[in-house]
Amino acid sequence: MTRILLSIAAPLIALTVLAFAPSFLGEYELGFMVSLMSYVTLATAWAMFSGPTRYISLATVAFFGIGAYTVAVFNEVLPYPVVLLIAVSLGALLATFVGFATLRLAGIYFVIFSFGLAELVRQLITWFEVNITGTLGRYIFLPFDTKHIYWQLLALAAITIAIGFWIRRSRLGLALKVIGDDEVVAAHSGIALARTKVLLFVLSASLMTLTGAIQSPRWVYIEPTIVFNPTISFLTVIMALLGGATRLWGPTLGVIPLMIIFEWLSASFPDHFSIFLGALFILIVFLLPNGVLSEIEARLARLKKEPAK
Amino acid sequence: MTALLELRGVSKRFDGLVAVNQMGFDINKGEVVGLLGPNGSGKTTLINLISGALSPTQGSICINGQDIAGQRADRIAKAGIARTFQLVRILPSMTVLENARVPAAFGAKSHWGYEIDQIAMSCLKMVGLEDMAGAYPAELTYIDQKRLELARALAAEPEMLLLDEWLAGLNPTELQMGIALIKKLQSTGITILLVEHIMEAVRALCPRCVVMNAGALIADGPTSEVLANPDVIAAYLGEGHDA
Repeated sequence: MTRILLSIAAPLIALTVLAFAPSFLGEYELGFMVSLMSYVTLATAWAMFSGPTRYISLATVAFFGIGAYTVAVFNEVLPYPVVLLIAVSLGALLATFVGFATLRLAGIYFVIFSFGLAELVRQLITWFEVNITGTLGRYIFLPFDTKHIYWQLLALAAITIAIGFWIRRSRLGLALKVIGDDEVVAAHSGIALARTKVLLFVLSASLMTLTGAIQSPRWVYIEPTIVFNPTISFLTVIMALLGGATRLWGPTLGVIPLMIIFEWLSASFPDHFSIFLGALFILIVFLLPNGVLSEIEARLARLKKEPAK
Repeated sequence: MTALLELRGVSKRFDGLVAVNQMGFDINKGEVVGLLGPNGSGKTTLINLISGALSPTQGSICINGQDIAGQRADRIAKAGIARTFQLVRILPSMTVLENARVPAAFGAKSHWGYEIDQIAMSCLKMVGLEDMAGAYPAELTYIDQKRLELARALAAEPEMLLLDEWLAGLNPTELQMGIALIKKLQSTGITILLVEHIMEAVRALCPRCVVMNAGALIADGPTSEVLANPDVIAAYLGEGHDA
């Protein structure tokens, strides 16, 4: 009982404190918090689908970029909530299409496909902008300060974690866990494979699309190379894996230390950033294949067993 | 009495190879039927066709009068057919109890909440695994893994249970335990179709047998008559042998 109370009360207190962050943080720190909240949402949404099913998706930035671009295209002609709605619909539509077309692909084929998808979307938009509209970059003028963007992203992160919390307790969560273990058993137990996977993929992609849409006014000027930067997909994967993609709070725990390290690296060693990123990726996969949370739990379990010997 | 499972002209062709050829038989409610045949005669393929792992090229498969031929495996599971696998398939990241909970949640009756644990636990009790409920599959012995797979199939509360060589690979003591367990299931009134090579088990468990050879039905009837049938003996031992 105390555990349940703690698992609900502690996040609520944290959320309240975070909501007041703009009143005690400077502009630079708040800007950092915006990126942090953005990656908490991306990594948690990524792990929602990829954690249990083990389909490693590198399409994160495809959805993120679609969200940002939708805002760039419509921000001057339509009210903001309508723009967000269009963004989510486009992201969900693409995810549904991609889901039904590709979730039969297993393992490495899905990884390559998802990476290719992000590049395809970027190239298509670039082609369209250059050949049809004639301008590559676009401006976003929305009356938002950093704190407004921060609050929206904080709310989105909270909603994403709440959805993750709910899925874990639902039939959907159980179905995904079984699919991750053995698809044949899942099907013969009465689980509709394609529907379950696509549903989760669409949910996860919608949250990523919203993240891109909400964060886009931070850039003011955007072009495909900025919002479809594949590094965003890689960072999302590495963060979720560091914390543990099968745990609700795993991705969040992976995001915090990595964001701090990346912030320091990109300020101190801007030219060597990619080298460190690659090295870190390799280290995490080798040393913590199941994430920090699982590692800590395994060590605690070992400690408990030892005195009994 | 009407048939629970009806097969009519069921065939499966893999390019040029006809693995199952015009199979047709009925199974009544509460019957335990043995499915026999030499290696490669199409028994497992037939089980795969009934359970939806494969879809037949031709023919109809009806359960309670509803044609399920060619439907997705999850639909067939929901229609009341559960199976075990020739090579044991346990969900490795879940405990014994969690394994058994899965079909209770997604099977024919789609339970949720407290009921799932109740059903899963009663199925574990049925196979004698209740003390291992919290263990992980990797900690189980081979026969316990087989028991778990059976408990999981039962947790779907199926009308029709398909056992694909469930008794294979057990030592003589375990085999006796396995036979006793299936006998116990029989008394609950469940309908079972079992693929089996161990004649001792077939004689003990199945009053009736269906025999396949090269994908086709060659005999169907009471076990003792079927096993004395010259075609069946020829199929197993080759032509020219005397019974």
